[in-house]
Amino acid sequence: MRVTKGWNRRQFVQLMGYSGLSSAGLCSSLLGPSGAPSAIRFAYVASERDEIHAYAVRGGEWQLVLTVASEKPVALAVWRGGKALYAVNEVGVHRGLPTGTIEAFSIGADGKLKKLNRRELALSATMPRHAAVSPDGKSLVVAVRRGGAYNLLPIAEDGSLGRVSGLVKETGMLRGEGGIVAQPRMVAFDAVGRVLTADGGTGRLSVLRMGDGGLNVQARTESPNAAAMQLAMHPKGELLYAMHEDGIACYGYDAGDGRIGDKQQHVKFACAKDGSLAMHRSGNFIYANHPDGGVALWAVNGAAGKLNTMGVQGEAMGELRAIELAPNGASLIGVGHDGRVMEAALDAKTGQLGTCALRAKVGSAKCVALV
Amino acid sequence: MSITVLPQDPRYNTMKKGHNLRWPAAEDEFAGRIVLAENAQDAAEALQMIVSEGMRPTVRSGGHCYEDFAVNNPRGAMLDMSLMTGAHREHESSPYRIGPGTQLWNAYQELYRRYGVTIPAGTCATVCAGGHICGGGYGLLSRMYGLSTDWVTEIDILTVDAKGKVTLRTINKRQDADLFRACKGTGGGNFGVITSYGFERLPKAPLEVIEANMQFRWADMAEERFAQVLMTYGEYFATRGQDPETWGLYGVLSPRHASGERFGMSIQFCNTDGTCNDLTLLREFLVRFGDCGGEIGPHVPSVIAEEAHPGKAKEVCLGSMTVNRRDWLDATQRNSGSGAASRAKYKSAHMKRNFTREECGVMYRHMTRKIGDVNLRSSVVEIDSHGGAINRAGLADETAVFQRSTVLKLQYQTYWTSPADDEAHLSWIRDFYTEMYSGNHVPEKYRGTPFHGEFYEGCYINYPDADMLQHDFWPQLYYGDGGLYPFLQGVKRKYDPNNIFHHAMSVRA
Repeated sequence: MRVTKGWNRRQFVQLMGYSGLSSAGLCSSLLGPSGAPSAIRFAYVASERDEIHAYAVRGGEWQLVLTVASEKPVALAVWRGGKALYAVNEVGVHRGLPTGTIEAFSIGADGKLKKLNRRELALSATMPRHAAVSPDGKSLVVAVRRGGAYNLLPIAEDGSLGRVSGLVKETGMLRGEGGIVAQPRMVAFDAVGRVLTADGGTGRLSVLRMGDGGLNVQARTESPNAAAMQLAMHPKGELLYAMHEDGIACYGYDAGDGRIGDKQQHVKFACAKDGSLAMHRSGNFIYANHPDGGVALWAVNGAAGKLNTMGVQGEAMGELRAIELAPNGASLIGVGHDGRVMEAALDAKTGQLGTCALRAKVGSAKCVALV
Repeated sequence: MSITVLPQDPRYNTMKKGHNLRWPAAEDEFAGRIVLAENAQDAAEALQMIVSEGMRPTVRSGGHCYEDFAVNNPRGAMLDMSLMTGAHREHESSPYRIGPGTQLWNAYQELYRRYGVTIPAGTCATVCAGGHICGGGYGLLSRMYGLSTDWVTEIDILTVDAKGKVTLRTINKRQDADLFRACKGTGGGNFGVITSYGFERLPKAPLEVIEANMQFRWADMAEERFAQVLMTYGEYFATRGQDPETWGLYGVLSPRHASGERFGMSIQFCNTDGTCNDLTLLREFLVRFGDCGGEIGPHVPSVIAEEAHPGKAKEVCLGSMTVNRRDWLDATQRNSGSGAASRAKYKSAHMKRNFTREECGVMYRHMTRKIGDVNLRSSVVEIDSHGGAINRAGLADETAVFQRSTVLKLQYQTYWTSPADDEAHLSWIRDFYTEMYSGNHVPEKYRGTPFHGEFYEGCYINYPDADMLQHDFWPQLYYGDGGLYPFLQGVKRKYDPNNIFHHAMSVRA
């Protein structure tokens, strides 16, 4: 691994957050909890069939150890390097109330999940889409697509979730004759624990700050003509990549002030509907699922982080709903629309995808989280 | 300039609460701040600040919401309209205006003293116009004059557009007519913040009224006699009471839990010209109860008025019965109580027909049921007469109140003080209500609810009951299963595209 001058390993870990985020590039190139690059120990695949499949990974082989019930899990987040897993339940009503929920599971030594609790989000926070764990492991932030909001929940010492302690209720924007509502799509953390968000409705990128248990808007960047679906931060912490519906944009990021700078590049790319973006832990390559199947990849060049296309690879994986990079950066996991969960080896020097292997088959698989 | 009350402010602890002390369910659910507006500009600026900061606004006028819709708003802001008061008009040709923070008794008083008119609104003095009128609003004059919302011809309301910009709209039948209709009966906290109601005309207040109070002793009340009381009362309003000449007669029958020893019935009557010159109709009504064992007389307390003393009333003999004649304003003042804030649970039902014998039996059983040492004395079903002008043709299409065939309106209530008694009171009222609407005449899918059909006409949104959320058809209980709820959802999407205004039972777009 190449650690850029000026960043020690601890800062780097903080930068990326401790959350392993399925279908989320920002934290896809995590270091393991010890700080050393690790291989995959456990994998969790969420299915639209209201299940999460837990696998123990031994010698590259995935062994199903447990299937747990979970209502409409759409995204998974890992706590403290693998002590707990959070499932984002993409529901509009819970116990009659208009709210989505998050389920917390502890992760056993064998990779098995045990439900800790299920916590409802704020009223009107319906159809949550994504969640991320704060670098200190004390909070979970949730992007609420239908409700147009971000919710903050405290995490207890055992990994269970407390009640919503803060929220930001978003508004949309006027476009033409009508209006567009906010559809928060992704959340992630920067080096100092600020929340970065992508809005699939307005295209807005925001920086939120946590404080006193609450959540507030610190800065925003409007991209009114293209919904924002995914974020990925360069390991240096000074470049932010956002997957918009019409391509991938690179923004400067001021980690000191928590402000998103000017757009430096916009690579046109027909993003998949369920776009997924991942940056390699080296900071040299970025990956996205291609709408026609396989993985599109770019080399990240120079201090400006300019993207140069390297084409599409891994077509054998088929059309993917989500991609995730292994903690040690040695492989890429793709979750296919056909339920296949494939692993492709990565060449850390060239960024190229190698041979693909089928790791699991999960009906209506939605996303994957790796520990 | 609005006034912001934060938790460290000495006023916060008093102002954070509503009338139902059950809410919010937890201390950390209270609104993060309370913002008081003194005029529409204040309210607009405050709302803009709240929305721009990403907070959730809830709106309160009198604080009488039965559920937690306003006070449960952790880290959010409760916009308090209670300082926006007054009932007046600028000049003779302009509409009457009532501020959302105007308490009902003050509205009656101001409108009467200034203009000799009134609104057919409720008897709870400290309920404010803001929530009362937009949820329908009815009272002792409603059989004669309809719902208070039926008289509204203009509304000033703050809405929030897609971009989050607050806009003050004046809406009526010509301007934003869809929103105007929606604001007449959907209930508060749905579309925006109402800053003023306008009325091109209002009905003349009656000159005087007759009050007749009857009470029944539980000791004399076997189930059969109890059923006779209920069915005599219900039969009148389901049949004779539909005749327009009877619309000046309003009844409140209040079976109270048997631990209270007695329960009563109160009638307010005037002729439809606002006088009490001809009492034939009242006598006709009262003699129907001749076999029911009721006691009537000037000494019998009212079930409406909190004050027992007869005050300025004059006794009037109706054959063997004695009733009280009273100036309307005096009667209205006496009837304008609010009760102390307490823990409470409420439910409601609109009835299109008289009680069945089975329903009377269910009510009798629960009114005489004991739950250990729990005090159920303050548990009551208020059975209000309905219909009359409320049921006039066409009003359902002009407003968001679909219940226009109701003859009796039931409000189930139970009050207590200690959180330790929550479970007993809640289970009592839930069991009672569920059994009441689980007869064979209720379609299986809708058992446990007064879903509208041959017998019932759903529930009243100003008496919201979050227990109904367990049914996926809860919106149809409150808004019917015709086109009203889809219409309201369209209005919601159009005028509140960000769903800024929401609570557990707000319209879900």
